[in-house]
Amino acid sequence: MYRFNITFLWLLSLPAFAYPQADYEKNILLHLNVEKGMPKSASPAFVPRPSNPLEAIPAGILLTWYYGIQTQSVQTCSLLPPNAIYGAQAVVIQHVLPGLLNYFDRVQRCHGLNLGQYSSLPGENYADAVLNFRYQPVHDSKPYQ
Amino acid sequence: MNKILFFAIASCFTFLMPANAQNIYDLKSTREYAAHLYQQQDYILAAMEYERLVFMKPGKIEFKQRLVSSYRKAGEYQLGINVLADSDVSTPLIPEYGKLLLLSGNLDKFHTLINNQKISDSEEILFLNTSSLIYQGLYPEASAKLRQSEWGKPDLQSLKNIADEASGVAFKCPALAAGLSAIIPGSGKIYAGYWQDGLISVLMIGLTSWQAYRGFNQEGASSVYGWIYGGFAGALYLGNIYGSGKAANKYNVVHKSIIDQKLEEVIRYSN
Repeated sequence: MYRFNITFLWLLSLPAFAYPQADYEKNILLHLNVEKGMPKSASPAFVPRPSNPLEAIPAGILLTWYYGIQTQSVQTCSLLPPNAIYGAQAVVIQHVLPGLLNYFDRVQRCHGLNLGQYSSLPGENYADAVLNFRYQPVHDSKPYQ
Repeated sequence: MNKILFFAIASCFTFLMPANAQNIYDLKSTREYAAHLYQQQDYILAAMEYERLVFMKPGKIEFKQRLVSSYRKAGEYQLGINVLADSDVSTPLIPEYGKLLLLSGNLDKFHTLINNQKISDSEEILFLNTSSLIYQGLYPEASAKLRQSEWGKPDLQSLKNIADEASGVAFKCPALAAGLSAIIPGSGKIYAGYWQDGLISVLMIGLTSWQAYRGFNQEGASSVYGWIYGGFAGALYLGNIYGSGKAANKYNVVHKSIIDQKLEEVIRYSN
């Protein structure tokens, strides 16, 4: 039973290793980081591979949830990337505890009442004109932003 | 016959014309053209002309000053610093160098430069020092330094306006925001200026807590329903505390960046 649980957890973490950052997001990041010459502190991050199981398992669960369940329904959140993807990225980039706290905060920010908020940091709301979504990415060096 | 003679004489004069042609690349013409471009606010082209003038007369401080000033006004701060970093910065160039260091965010080098030099122009040094104070977020100190009502240098008046405006901004305390949300979920976000987020947070945490209470109330401590919703409520509660601190921080970053943008504008286009 114990071995089965361990195997199950490892299987859950696999999506985190296989997760390819979506092309649209890579393009936005390249545009913001390279062409605009954004300062490091403000720039959204490219997602690295998880470095330990503590990061891989929650990230894998969130990705499984997103690709396996959530994408079956109509997307209601106007933020980009979607919450579960944001959570998986935050766990890997900012590490487990700040990443998960950030994820649960993000879930509460994902509503239509705050349109126009959080818009003054460089790079944010970039996707407005392109995809009709607000781009609010995980920041790399300062989790509290 | 007369016509032929006229054309013969006239054609002789055409050969003399190249001898009188103006050399547009000489010092005088380049200087006039550079000054014209600078006046027309075409700073990148002006900088190219001043580069040529500095090459022609390396010892002339005025050209170097204008070159660096052109780079500053064109927003090419690093190019301006490169011009001055190669040589010893003489006294007339120190204000320019100071402005470029401030604009590029190099505060350590700026303080070393200002502390080790003597600048006779007191308004110029006041401009640099108060700009540095504003840049560091010491708004009341900057405002106090500029208390005098009238200034000879118009840029000081703009700086005074920024310092006064910045002193009036009520920056938020992230710890207080987090503390408020720990007591009443969502209140920290309302304090940080994001009342819509605060409202949604209190609703989400309230609803999940109520569901958890219902589960435990009906089935006791073994209620799976209660534990699931309790877990959600706890995670949302902790996320909200964290997010409130983050929201206060974001409020501060956004307002500081607005002030910094205004400051950059004043330093960049100052004379």
